[in-house]
Amino acid sequence: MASTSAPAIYGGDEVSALVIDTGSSWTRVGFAGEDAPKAVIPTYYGMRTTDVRNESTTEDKIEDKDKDGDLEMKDASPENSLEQKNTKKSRFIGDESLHLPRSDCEIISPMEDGCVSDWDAITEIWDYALTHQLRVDPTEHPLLLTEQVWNSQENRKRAMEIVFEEINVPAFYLAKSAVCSSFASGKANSLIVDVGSAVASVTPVIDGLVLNKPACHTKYAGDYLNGKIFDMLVEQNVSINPRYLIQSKTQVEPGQPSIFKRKSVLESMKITESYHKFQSKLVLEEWKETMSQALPFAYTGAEQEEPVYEDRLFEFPDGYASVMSEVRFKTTEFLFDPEIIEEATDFRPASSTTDFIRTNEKREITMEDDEVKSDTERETTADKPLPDNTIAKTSTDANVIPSITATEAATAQPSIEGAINNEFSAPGRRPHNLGLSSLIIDTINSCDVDVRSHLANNIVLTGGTTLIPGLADRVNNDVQAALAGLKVRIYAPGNTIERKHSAWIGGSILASLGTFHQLWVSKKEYEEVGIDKLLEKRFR
Amino acid sequence: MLDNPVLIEPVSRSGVTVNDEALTAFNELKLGRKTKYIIFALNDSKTEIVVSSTSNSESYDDFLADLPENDCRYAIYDFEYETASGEGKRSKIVFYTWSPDTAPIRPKMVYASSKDSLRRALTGISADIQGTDFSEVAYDTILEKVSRGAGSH
Repeated sequence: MASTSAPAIYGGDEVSALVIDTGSSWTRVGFAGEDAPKAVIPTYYGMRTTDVRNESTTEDKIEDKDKDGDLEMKDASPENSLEQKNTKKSRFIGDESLHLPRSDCEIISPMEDGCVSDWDAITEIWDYALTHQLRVDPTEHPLLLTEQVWNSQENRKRAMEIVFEEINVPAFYLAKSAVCSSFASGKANSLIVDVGSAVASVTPVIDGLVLNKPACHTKYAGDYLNGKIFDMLVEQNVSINPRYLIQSKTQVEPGQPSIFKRKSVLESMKITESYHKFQSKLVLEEWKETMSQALPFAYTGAEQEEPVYEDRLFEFPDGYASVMSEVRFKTTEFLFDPEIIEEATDFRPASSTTDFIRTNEKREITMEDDEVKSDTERETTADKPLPDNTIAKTSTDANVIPSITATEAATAQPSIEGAINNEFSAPGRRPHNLGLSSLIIDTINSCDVDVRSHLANNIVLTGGTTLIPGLADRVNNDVQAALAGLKVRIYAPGNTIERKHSAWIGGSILASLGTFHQLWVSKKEYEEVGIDKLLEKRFR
Repeated sequence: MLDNPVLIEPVSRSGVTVNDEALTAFNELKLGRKTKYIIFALNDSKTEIVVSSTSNSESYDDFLADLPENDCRYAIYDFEYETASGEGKRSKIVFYTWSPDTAPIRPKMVYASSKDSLRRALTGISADIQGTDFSEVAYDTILEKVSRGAGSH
């Protein structure tokens, strides 16, 4: 039938496809075939309620918003939103708008555990990126989205609904980000080690397909490190004054108290704690990017030569300057040896969730659930009484995680509290507190013996946090020491763009291939075949 | 009536297909033993995997010289070696994915995502080699890999 082979007309050279890679902290958007994303915008939004109940939780806000019906979204234009009625909520999206101080504006993340948790917000962020940054009409371009390996089935369904029904694209494809990264590094077999802001994940890719079972992820990534850096600075009695507070500063000698003038405009404003934290996070990130370094080996103290710590001066936005030496290395150590008992201060904006995720109160959990099929089956049995031999869990059970799968973990903590305190875990009851090197070793060891050498030989580092100097060497040393029988080879592109956006680049090239058109799912096919069947047949 | 060909027959992630000639050349190598190695490449429009060259040169260095320094290829090599225990000659068919670190990202990506369609079409291969530099495809490296496999001694 000619009608359903319609995607043949897309993906050709005339209409370029759009590629969106939504990360925990940055959303990359651009045209397929280009070697870098056109726009990289924060995956956070500011939410202002002129409502008096400022203490209300995120959940309350979303309910309020639903009552309001249509959401007023005036991006990057504070003047407009000032005129809005008291009950209106306005979201602020995009770098400039997000960082502007505003009264009662909370900074919120629509992501949780690397996956989308607030679809209303993410739709707006995408819309902002496409219509304001790229200035395209999304209804004219096929769209490729990336997703995390542990993305839940409901999330994938929701993504497809939004893409076809709200954004109204003509054709769509959903690609696993680990697979895209693997292809971008020119490998069909690889172990993708992606350390981003909220999640560190290790994913084996064999012949272009993800091995679901050994794949795992933890929260010991960039945001966790930010918290550790903050704790360390507090220990040194450094108070962080983010840039937005500073009117002017005076140069002071290193170690001397800072002398700066606060912006007077801010006195009349009611700046929220989440905004202040978000701005403080920027300072911590700057510290991390300029100061952090990884030791070549874990330093245990005993019978080891004391590592040489190189001093470096860091100037804070308020003018205070201090010489950093040991801490530059010691904070990075937390990536390799996370402290479980002592939680780091959380600088990640709280996640918001949409109602649809919260409806999944009870779910059946089996050990063999890496098949997409069983996931859909699980959906249908969700409301029936559970058989005795399976473990039932309610979504509020956030503290009892070990046997829960990664997919479950993503949907299991709807509250803000859950987002802060949860421990992510991997399928297959593996410990969830592993540091980066241990996570890699553990993943390789839980793969089939036949593929271990392929994986160890093709470890690909990606994600912004892997740019910490010395990190690749450290991973290499740790992994080689633990897997003596295998030849370990770390592939870490020197190009920072390639490292930060590898999933986007992979998606971009994939979607630009003339031959890729056979794989697009057209809107017509979506309407005729239906979501469930498409997910089963096309996006396994 | 089945609407979409993709639903019946999955192709590689990139949608690239394998030219029939490539299969013929492979069978000649496998059954006819006339050729020593085959190098496959993508055609100019990047839609199909075709034979780029075949050779019956006995020298492994000739084979390495045929691998481009800054571009990707697939290759099949009929690898012959003496067993360590002196039980005579053995012959193994080795599949290479040549994707040097120095190659541009685009060909690397296309070759990686299309490998599956070629690899699945070829049967009787005893070793898969993913090469990113010349040390990974050196004679000794390959010898070690094939002689470790089952039934190689």
